[in-house]
Amino acid sequence: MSNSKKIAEKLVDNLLGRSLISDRSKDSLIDNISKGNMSADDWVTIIDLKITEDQKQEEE
Amino acid sequence: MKLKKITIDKFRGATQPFELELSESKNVTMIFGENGCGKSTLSDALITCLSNGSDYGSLNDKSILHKEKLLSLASTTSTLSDILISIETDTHTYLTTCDGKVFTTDQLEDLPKLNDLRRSQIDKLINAKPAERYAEISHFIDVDDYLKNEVTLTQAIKLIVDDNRAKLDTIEKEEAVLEKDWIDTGSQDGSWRVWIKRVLGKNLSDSKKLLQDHKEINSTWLNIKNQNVVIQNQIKIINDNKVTLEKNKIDIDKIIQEEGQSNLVSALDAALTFVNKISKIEECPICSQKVDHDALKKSLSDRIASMKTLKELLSSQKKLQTSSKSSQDIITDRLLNIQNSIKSIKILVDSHASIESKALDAYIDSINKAKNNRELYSAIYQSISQKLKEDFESLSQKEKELNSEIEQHELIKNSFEAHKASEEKILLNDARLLKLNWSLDLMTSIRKEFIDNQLNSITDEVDRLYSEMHPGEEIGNLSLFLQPKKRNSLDVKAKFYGHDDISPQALYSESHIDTLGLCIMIALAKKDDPGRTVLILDDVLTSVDDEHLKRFVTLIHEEARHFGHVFLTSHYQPWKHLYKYGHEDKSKMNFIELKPWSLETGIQYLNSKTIIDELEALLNLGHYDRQSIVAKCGVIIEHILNFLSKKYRGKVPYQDVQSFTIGTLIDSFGKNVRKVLRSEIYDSEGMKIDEIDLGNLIQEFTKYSTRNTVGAHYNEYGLLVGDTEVSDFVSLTKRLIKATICIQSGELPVIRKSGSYWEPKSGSIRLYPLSA
Repeated sequence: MSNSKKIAEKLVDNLLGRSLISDRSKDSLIDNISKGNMSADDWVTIIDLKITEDQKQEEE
Repeated sequence: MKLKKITIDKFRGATQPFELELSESKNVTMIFGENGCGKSTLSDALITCLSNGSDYGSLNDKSILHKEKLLSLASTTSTLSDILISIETDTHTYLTTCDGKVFTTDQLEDLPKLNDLRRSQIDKLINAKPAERYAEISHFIDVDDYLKNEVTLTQAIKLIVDDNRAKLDTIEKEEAVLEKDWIDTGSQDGSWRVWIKRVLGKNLSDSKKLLQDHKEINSTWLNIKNQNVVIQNQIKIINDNKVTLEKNKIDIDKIIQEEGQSNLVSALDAALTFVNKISKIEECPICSQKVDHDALKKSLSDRIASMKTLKELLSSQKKLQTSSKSSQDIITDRLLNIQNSIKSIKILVDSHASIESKALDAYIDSINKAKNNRELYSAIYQSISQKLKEDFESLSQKEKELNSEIEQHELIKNSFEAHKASEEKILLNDARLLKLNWSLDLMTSIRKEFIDNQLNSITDEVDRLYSEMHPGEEIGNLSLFLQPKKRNSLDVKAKFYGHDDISPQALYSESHIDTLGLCIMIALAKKDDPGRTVLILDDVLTSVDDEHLKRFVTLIHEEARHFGHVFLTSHYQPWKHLYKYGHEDKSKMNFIELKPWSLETGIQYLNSKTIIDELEALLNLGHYDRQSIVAKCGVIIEHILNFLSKKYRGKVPYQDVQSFTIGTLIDSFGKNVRKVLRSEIYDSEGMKIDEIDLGNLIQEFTKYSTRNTVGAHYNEYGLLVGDTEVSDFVSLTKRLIKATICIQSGELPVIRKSGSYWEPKSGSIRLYPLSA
């Protein structure tokens, strides 16, 4: 496993926590991060997901 | 994984096809050559192939890199597509070609890892600014792809910040519009915000309904006016018909007076029609008198013809009457339409009380009365339409006001909604910025922590390597870390004579900095799968003294066992001489020396020889070149005696240049040393096969002046020396070689680990004593 992938995994675990994205989406996200394929818009999408997720948890 | 063969054509200095076969059993290749012989061409070819064309080696250091510069100057007709690089290992052959733009290697499966170091990189690693140092080791850490995310995440933050700025501009602009509207409409309700709430809370459905009704009234009134035009046209037709009918009647009366009965024309027409239908008539059906059929027909036709004018007038009268009746029907129909339209208008008018509806009532009544009185109708229409025109003009004014009110409401609503949407977007963006900045911090801290761990993990190894290079020196204890507040600034701290955490570039000598950088690079290269790694050290060392050079070379050979292959290039003569004169074991390496380069020959090489190999080559020549043979023997004797004299602290005369003759060196050994100086020779099984009294052997050389008479100068005494004496001198030299230099590896006995004698790494010689 490449070093980039190792730290991408750690980042996604810390970033999304108990996020509702599927394992498959998570693997795909890790792959894209480790290969440096994420665009600025992709990051905004991920952050929106994180905001929605955090709001849900607060409501719960 | 070991390199077996390198083939290059049309690449940089390879103006001719170049092929270098390497021994599969040796994983170290040393390429010696003066500047411009092609060393960098060889290392760059390896780098281009093993990096799959993503790296061009030394050319990366140049400020301008055009791929055309990779093409050799061999032929003006060659193109980049003619370049060929082939690397054969013990498992695969990799072929690199260029399609004119990009270099690619034909297969990437099991492609050896590449770690290449140049002196410039080592220099930058220590001496460059911290922000530039990391770039030199980044490929060892291999998180560059991950690092791209920090760039795109930063871009995302900038996008959101820019969006917020745009939204603030929108808010400012819309507030200005709304405030202006508020002022323009009289600054009601104390502030524009309160005013807007009231305005937007207002129900505009009544106004919209009223506007719609006004539009319908106008449309209906326009329809009435059009109907009226039709009616007026029909009235005109009827009036015109009336005039014509009266005139025709006068003419008809006049003809009848002259011609008799007016209905005779129609009777004659009927008679002629009757006669024409019957094929033959013989008597009159009225009076039964005998008639001639043809004569009767002619008579009827003639009489009818004579009454044509009357007939036409009668026909015209009939048509005019029909036309007038039709016009009257149209008028009746349109009047009905008008009545219905006015009723519709009246309903709309009554519901809004916008205009006086009495006129409309009068109009409807009048139409009922005037249905059969066209003059009356026209008069009424003129009167009513004048009255209604005034009312409808006021309606138009009201319509404009309604339109204005609704449009303004829409504008305010749109501005306010844009204002509100911008405020909401800013709130969302603020939440995003919070998370994005947090993510960026997280991303950076994870990367830095990983890199620091990687760097930490090599510090012990760097210290070990560095202490091998500089034993007993109070330097080292290295720490490497990324500066916490900078993105990628690498800091290097080390120990210097009891002081920790000093910056080495401030206090270390140039050679210490060189070796420190090299130790860091080697430790990093060893970290990840070194067995599959080709380590290229391209001309990395130039500034170390003799002792440090020996330690460095020993270190490289020791570390080479961890790597797939170590490929060294150097133009540093002292390094070459370490092998040539037996200070280092060259038996485990490919020892290649490049010849001077030329455009015609390209890169050429010879397998470099030790000085002993060179003597053997001279002895094996077809002719006996005694001058060259003796000269070579002289150099070897001087080299060995110099080595022994140093080892046993021989007494040589002090002089500016430490270069001594054979005689001086022999005299440097005292009697006590010569008595105990001896050498034991062992085979590969560790069995002693010979013992040589080295003290006596050295003394033997005092009998010969052969070196000076035959091997050094032209003199007449030399001509008198026979070949037998020369052969004896050579034999004595070979015996000295046997006593002091390992035949297999060409090394001198420089290791003292036994504690009682000196030996080469191969252990084939034991030189006694350990000290004088």
